[in-house]
Order: sequence, then C-alpha cells, then structure tokens
Amino acid sequence: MAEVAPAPGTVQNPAGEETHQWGMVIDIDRCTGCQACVIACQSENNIPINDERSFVQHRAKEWIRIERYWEGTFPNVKARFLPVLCQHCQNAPCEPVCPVYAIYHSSDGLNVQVYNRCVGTRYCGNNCQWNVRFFNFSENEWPEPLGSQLNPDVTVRTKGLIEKCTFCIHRIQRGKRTEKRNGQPLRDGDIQPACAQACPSDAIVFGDWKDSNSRINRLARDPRHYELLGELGAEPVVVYLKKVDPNAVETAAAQRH
Amino acid sequence: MQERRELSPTKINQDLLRFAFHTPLWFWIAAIVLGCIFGAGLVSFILMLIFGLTLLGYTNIQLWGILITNFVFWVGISHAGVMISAILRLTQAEWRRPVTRAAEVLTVFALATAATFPLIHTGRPWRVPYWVFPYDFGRGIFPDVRSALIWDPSAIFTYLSSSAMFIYVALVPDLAIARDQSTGWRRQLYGLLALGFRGTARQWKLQTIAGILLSGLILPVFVSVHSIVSWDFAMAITPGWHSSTFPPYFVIGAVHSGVSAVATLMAILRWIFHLEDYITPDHFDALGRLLLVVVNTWLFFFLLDMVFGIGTRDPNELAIWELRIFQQPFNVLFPVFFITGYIIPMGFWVFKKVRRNIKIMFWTSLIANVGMWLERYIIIVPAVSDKRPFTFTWIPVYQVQPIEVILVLASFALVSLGVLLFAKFFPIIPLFDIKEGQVLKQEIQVGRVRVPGIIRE
Amino acid sequence: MTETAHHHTVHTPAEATRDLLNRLTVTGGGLLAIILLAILAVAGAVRLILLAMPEPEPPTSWGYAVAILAFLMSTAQAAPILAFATRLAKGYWGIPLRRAADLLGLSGLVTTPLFIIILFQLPDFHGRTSTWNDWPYAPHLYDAVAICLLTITNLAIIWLTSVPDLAAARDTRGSRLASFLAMGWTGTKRRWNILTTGTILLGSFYLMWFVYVHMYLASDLAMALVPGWHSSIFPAYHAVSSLQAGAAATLLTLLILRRLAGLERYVGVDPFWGASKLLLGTSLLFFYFTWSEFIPMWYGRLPYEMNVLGVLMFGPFLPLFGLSFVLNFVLPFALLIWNPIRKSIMGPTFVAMLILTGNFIDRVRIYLSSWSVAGPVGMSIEVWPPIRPPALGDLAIIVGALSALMLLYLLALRVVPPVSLWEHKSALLLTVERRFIKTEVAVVAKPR
Repeated sequence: MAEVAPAPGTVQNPAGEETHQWGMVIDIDRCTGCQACVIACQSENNIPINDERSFVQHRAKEWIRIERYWEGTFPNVKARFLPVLCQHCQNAPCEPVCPVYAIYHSSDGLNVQVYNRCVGTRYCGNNCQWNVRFFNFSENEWPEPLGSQLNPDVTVRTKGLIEKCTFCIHRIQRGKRTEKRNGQPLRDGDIQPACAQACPSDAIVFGDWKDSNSRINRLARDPRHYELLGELGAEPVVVYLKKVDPNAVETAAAQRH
Repeated sequence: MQERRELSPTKINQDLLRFAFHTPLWFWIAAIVLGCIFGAGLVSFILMLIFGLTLLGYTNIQLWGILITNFVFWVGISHAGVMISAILRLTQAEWRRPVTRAAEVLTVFALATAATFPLIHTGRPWRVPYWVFPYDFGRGIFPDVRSALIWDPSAIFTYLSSSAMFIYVALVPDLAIARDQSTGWRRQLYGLLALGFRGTARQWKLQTIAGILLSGLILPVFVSVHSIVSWDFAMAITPGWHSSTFPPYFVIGAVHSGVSAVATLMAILRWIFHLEDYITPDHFDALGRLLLVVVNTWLFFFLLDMVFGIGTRDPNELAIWELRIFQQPFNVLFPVFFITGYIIPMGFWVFKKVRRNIKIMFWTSLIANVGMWLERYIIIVPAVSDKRPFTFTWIPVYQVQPIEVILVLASFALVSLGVLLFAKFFPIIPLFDIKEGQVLKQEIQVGRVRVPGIIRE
Repeated sequence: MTETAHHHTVHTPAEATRDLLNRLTVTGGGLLAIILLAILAVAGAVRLILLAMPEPEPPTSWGYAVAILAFLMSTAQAAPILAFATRLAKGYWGIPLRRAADLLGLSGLVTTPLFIIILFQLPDFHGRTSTWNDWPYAPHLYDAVAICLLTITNLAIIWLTSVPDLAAARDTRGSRLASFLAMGWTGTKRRWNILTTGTILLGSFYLMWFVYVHMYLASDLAMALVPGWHSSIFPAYHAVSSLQAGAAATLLTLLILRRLAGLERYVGVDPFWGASKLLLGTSLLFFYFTWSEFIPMWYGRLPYEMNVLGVLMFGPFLPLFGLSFVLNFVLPFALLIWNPIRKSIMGPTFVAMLILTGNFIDRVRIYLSSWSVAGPVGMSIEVWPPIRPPALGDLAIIVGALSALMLLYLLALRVVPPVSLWEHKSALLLTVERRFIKTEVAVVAKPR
C-alpha cells in the first residue's frame, strides 16, 4: 500500500501545512479499453496530436495509455486492458538521476516535472520502468483552428524537454485555492483529474490517501489490490485492482490435469 | 628486444623537428578535408538546435542511442594515453619511448571530442553548461550530485586537465630544443612555452619528478573516468544496464580500444612522417603482446557480464540478452562485433610474424575498434528497447538517421584534425625520451655471447 | 631498481649451489614441528569428517569450513600467480620469491578434498541463480573437476620449476628421491628451452584456470545461496582480492624463510620492494571492486538488493565488513604510499600480515553470512542472520587446514631448496655492475 506523504514540519514540508497524499485506484475489472481517459488527458494537458507518423516513429505522447493484453486463442480471444500512467512513486527511480534537479517530490506526494529547468538529458526517461516519460523531439504544433482548443491552465511545452502525467496538478491547485478562498475543507471527489472525470465505467478513482474516509482507501482494501512493478520498491501511489476472471475455477482445474 | 641503430642526437633533432619547420602540401589538403567534415558536423549541430532532436533516430523508449555510443567510444579511446605513458613509464618498459606522446595527444583530443557529445545530444544544450557548472548563480540550486551525469563531467575534466598537464611537462625539454633551432615567430612561440628550460641538472630533476608524480596520480583518474561513465548505465535499474561489473568491463574495453587506436596512429605517423628509424616492428610487436593480454582480460569481463547476467535467471535480464544476441538487427551486429572485436585481433596477434608486420597491425587494430564501437552500441541500445514486458513498446529497431552518421564522422575528423595540428607545431615523438633510451643501452658479455642490456634506473 | 644479488654478496653460482643444497636436511626442532603439525592436521580432518557424516548438518555449521577453504584458495593457491607474473615480465627482482610462492601451491592438496566435501553440503541447486542452468550433476561434477585440475597444475608447476634444482641435488648429494623426481635432467639447450617455455605456458594456464575456479567458488558457494544476489562483479572481486592475498602470503612466507632458513644472502630488499607495488595496486583494486559491487545495489534501492547489502555488509556482519575494509584497503594504502615503507623488508611484510588477516575476515564475512542464509530458492532474503562465533569444531578445522599446509611445506623443503637455485644463478650471470658517468649502476641483460 502507498505510504503517507511527509508530515508537517519536515524538510519537504517546512510550512507545516496540512498535506495531502494524492493517489489513485484503477480497477482493471471495470476498464473497457474505450480510451476516453487518453483523449481527455490529451485535451486537458495540451498534448500534441499523435498522427500515424508519430506512432510509426514510436514517439507518440500518451501521458496515460491503455496497454492491451490478448488472452486465449481464436475464437476464444479475450483482451485485458491496463491503463498505465505516471505512478508518482514515493521512491521514484527517475528522481535522483536528473543532473539539474528538474524533478522533485512535492509535499503533496506528487512527482513534479519542472519544465523550465529540464535540459533534456533524458536519463529520467531511461530509468522510468513504466515508460511514462515523454520527450519533446520537436516543437509542438496545432494547425489552426485547433490552437483555440488549448487549455489556458496548462503550459505548452517547448521542444527539448521531458513531460509526463501530473495528476492534473492545475486542477489540484485550483481545488486548494478554492478551499482557501471559501474556507471550506475539500471533500473527497472535489478534485478529479481529466482521466478520472472522463472514465465512463468509473475505473479510475482519484483521492487522498491521507483522508481515511476517501473512496480510494475503501477500494484499496479489496483483496484484488496490487502495485504495478511493485517488486522494484519504488512505492507507487497508484493501486490497481486485478481483473476478475469468471472462468478462474475452470481454468485452474483444467491446468491441474 | 629492440633493434638498435645508432641515432645521434643531431639526427634525432633533425628528423623529429622537420615537420614543425616545413609544411608539405599534403598537410594543407588533409587539414582542409578534415575541416570540411568537421564543418558538416557543426552544420548538423546547428540544424539540431533549430529543429530539435527529431532529426535523430530516438524513440520514446530508446532515449539514448548513437551519440551516447560515440561518447563512450571516444572516452574509451582516450584511455590509450595513460595506459601507454603512465603505466609503461612506471614499469620502465623501454619500448614506450616513441609512442608516449602520440598516445597522450590522442587522449586529449579524444576526450575533448567525447565531452561534446553529451552536450549536443541534450534537448536544450545552451542551458547545460550554465546549470551543470558547480555554482548556484543566485538561484539557490546546485547541480544534483546524486546524478551520474554530474559525476561524468567532473571525471572527464579532471582527466582532460591532468592529461594536458602531462603532455606539457613532457613537452618542455623538446620545446627548448625547438626554440634553440628556430627563428622568428616560431622562436617566440617555443620560447614562451619552453618556460626557460636550459637543461641544467636541477631542471631535469624537477621535470623527471613531475613526470613520475603525474604518472602515478593519473592512474586512479584513468580507472575512475571510465568507471564513472559506466555508472551512467549501471546506476539505472533498467535490466541489461544494472550490472555491477560495468566499471572494470568498460575500463578494460577502453584500454583495448585505446591501445588499438595507438597502434593505428603509430602506423599512420610512421608512414606520413617517414619515421622508420624510430617506430620499428619491435614496437608493434610489443604493442601486440600488450594487446593480447588486454583482449583476453576484456573477454573475461565480457563473459562475466554475459554469463552472470544470464545466470541471474531474471526473465527481464534474459529478455535483454536474447534481444542482444538473437533478434534483429542484433543477430547480425552481435556476431560482427565479436568477430571484429575479439576473434580477428586475437587470431592475428598471437603470431609474432603478424605482430611485426605493420600493415597487418594497422588494419587489425582498426577492425578491433570497429568491433569496440559496436560493443558499446550493443550494451546501450537493446536495454532501453525492451525495459519491461509492457505491450506497447514493440521493441522498436533503432533507425539510424543521416545526421547521426555525419556527427560520428565529424568526431573522427575532429580528433584527426587535432592530432594533425599538434604534430604540425610540436614534435610528435619525444626527443629527449629517445635520446635517453640511446644513452641507457648497454651490452653484456655472457660466456661467448654479447647480450643487449639496459641500465636499471 | 637494482638487481638482487649484487647488493648483498658477490658469490659465485657454485657457492650458492653448495650452500643451499647442504641445508636440505632438517633435524631436531624441525622434526618436532612436523609431528605437531601432523597431529593438528589430523584433528582437523577428523572434525571435518564428523561434520559431514551420519546426518547432514544445516548449512550454517559449515560457514567457517567454507571460509577457511576460500581463505586457503585465496592466499596460498594464489601465490604461484605472483611467481608467474615475475617470470612473464622477466623481472629479476622476483627471483627470490618464486620458489616460496610456487611451493604455496601445495595448499591445493588441502583445498581439493575440502572443496569436494563442501560441494556435497550444498542445498539443492535447481532453480538457483547460477550459471549451470540446471545441467545434470551441476555444480558438483564441474566444480570438482575444476579444483582437481587446478591442484594438478599446481603440482606440475612445482615439479617443473624444481627440476634443475632436483638434478643439482641428485648430482651433489646422490639423493634417490631427487634422482627419481628429476627424471634424468641434463642441462642441454633443448631441455632448457622446453623448461622455460613450459613454465610460461603452465603459468598462463594456471592464471586463467585460477580465475575460472574462483569465479565458481564465489558464485556456487556464496552467490547461489543468497536470494536476490545478482552481482556480476563479485566473482572478479573474489579473484582480485585473492591476487592481493596471494602476494601477501608470498611475502610473509618469504620473510619467515629468510629468518628461519638464514637466506639473507639470497633474499634482499628487492623482492619485498617489487611486491610492495603489487600490494599497493591490488589494495586499490580491492577498494575499486568493493565499491563497484556496493554502489549499483545501494543506488538502485531495489528491495531485494538492499537485503543483500544488509546481510553481507551493513547488517549483523558490519563489524567484519568494516575490519576487512580497514585491513585490506585503508591501512595498506596508508602505509604503502610511503617510499621508505615500500623499500624495506619489514614494511611490506607487516602490510602483508594485515592483508592476510583482512582476507580471512573477509572470507568469513562472505561465506558465513551466505551459508547462514542458505535455504530454499527465493527472490529476496527474509531474515538477516546474526554472526555465529566460531565453535571449537570450527577452530579445529581452521587450525587443521593451516597446519596441513605448513606440514606439506616443511616436507617439501626437505627435497628442494627454499630459493630457486637455477633462476638465482641465471640472474647472477646476466647482471653486471658498471661505471656510468660518475656513478656505478647495475646493467641487466635483456636477451631476446
């Protein structure tokens, strides 16, 4: 299970404010592979349009992507979908390798990429084992009138630097600003990144691990929970729930014979 | 062990300084050709600045490729200098004498060229020196010393500066001779650089002590530089890179590369400067024997990496080794690398007749370096092509782009140009070293035979 | 570096022959030592057999036995490599230490049975991280063949390099044993060529095979037992620290021989001075290989590798690791960088004693920890085992093994002189002193 973010009064949180530990639970059993999260992320975060050429060059940027695993043989083929995004690891392999401190771990438990510090050595991309870091090989262009659809809350990254999923940090910041202005504490579900908001089957759930009543805390108690590449000791804050296989009993019996 | 011809000091001065004072036509042609290739490299770099790294063959997971391979390759070649001059000086091997300065010069230019590659392959190179320099410039942020990419420049600049010092200390007596034999602007230049060296006993003593001290101190630097470069890869947890044997493996590969490059360079120098009296088949014989030891030690570390990588029985490691040996395009590259990097050199260099044949030594040492370039490519690229068993990686085949080829060729041109220009202004064979060797030669009567000997220092 | 013989005495080859060969007989105190060592060796062997027979003991009880095996293989069996290196590089300074080093190869007669017994104490090898890939009879068959071949090479080297001295003993003293072993040696040109080529070839093969055997000592007897220990450099580390300890063992043995056998005229400061540079170099390499093992594991923070670091270096075995680091690197480095210490007899030998102690502690650290963790195949270590101090039985095995080596050494010295006589005589022939400008220098011949 994900560990809690630094307590108030520590080096990473000197102001002593009440902190959050943002995280997610992704239920593979509910994921239909519709890619609504991918599109929502792309439009929310000003990610450039991936045409066929970028896929052929293996340079397509998908901050959240759907991995697809085929099982069985024709005609009994099934697909299993796995949404993979930045795990915001507590012990991230990408963090210590940046020579210019373009990556740091925020007091909210997020792995933050500082665009204007990044010089593009791409060591972080090499060390990330989930392949969720993307490099801008060229200037991003949106032919008119597509430029009008860009989200003003999010920057447009120039060429030569690395970008990745931020858990829609601009929405988190907006939520915290609203909380301060209105004086009312944030409730679970007030802040939603684009992917969680767009998912039609509610497979992606975002919340605060430090909030004991949050939905993700309840969901994570499911015995199906696991962490992607958890054996690497990177302590991701994203918890996955395994897909339920309705034929599991029969498959196991068949395998025993 | 050495063929001895009596070489008088005057003859030595004349032969070795000839090129510094007269400029043949071929020098201009070579300089212009190399300059053009280097210019093409500069143009490529400018194109990269304008259009971004899209011009190179990188993909979303193969984020390091040809340029970093080239970087590691040139750092490897730079290990020639210390191996030949420092280690052979400390073990008092006589055959080092003509070879030391050329090896050291190759080191300095190879290192300087290597250092440009991590710079040009970053996304925003204009910011790199500013932020990697160990000073906070008012922002309160120093470079992150946890990153192996910060250990790299420290190691490389240490090695570069100590090698440059080493060359200079050894060059001072020769500069004094050049000063004494020249006139006009040359005399001014050499006089300035010779620091007033007059050949007194005290000056010789200081010069010798400085040389020995630097030889000793540069040895840890020599081992640490390529170890630190190897830690660029070993610190990552990517399977195929996370191997504890990378430091000695890379260092011994560097010595292999470097000493082969010295053999190539010596053959070229002998040919273009007519140095038959100074660079003899004996030297190639000795280089060949050293290379035999190095090549087999390299084989040991290569097998260690492979056998104990596969022996971990970790499916991710096994996948990388399978990719490196059996899948396209490595099913071609791997055998080529092993044949050119080990089998051909080993097969030829075991024979004394071959070692004494300068043409064959030239070609086999060149082939060995082709193999070593491929070795670095095979270490670096497969590991990032197939990190973990996610489906959408598709293990892409790295598509080499024309700009990358131009940049690699430009690096060769830059190093050659550097060595050529150095040889133009300064004697590439150390005069005083050769003279010292002549003085220390002796003969002993043993029974009925006169045996060549040497004075033990 | 000046050549050995001239700074200590000017004696002729004939004088040397007479002197050394007259001293082969050992009486009185020597005989007592032999009997005592034999008793200790037998006691150790008995304890070893008791440990192995009736029921199999848990792997933890074997930790110290494996440690002394590794220690002997790292020190005594590595010593002939130093002799070979001086032969290959034609370094005259190394001549006095060659026989002392080669004879240390007799330890093979102790390590081979010990290795084979220990091989049968290994837990089941299927599925372990090892290079044998579950081949049949792995690792027992292959490792046993490897160690036997290593020892046979040791004995061949000892015999080949002693043949001219055995012939000299046969001719001057009429010894029947020497006559049998010398196999009709006469000093013809052809035989000399075969001898010199043979020593180089055997030595090269020995170096390669030694490194190979150490790879498998390290990987099969230590790495395979510790879950999660995926290190490619550890076998090389083991080989390199053995080269260091082999040089150290040679120096210590040489000093003891010099004192007890009165070899001042043959053994000057040169072998110690020359070997001190090797000690310094290998001590630095010890640090380099230890650091190269440590840093990727610590930096990567993978849980199973952090566990390995905990068991082997920073957990319960931290005192042993710290001591080994200080004795194998810090102190030797701090002492050997000074010229006066290097260019003396006691200086390098004192450092050699530190290194030998450090090497023993290091082998205990590696093998006691790995044999204490040894269990079923797994991905990561579950529990970090504490250090088990040596029991009386462990001490019996340790002392027994060392006594057996000393016993064999003393017996060998009754047959061959402690300094390689023929190499010493050839050095006498090939060096002269001459006046050179205003001083006297030694001139060393370098025949092709």
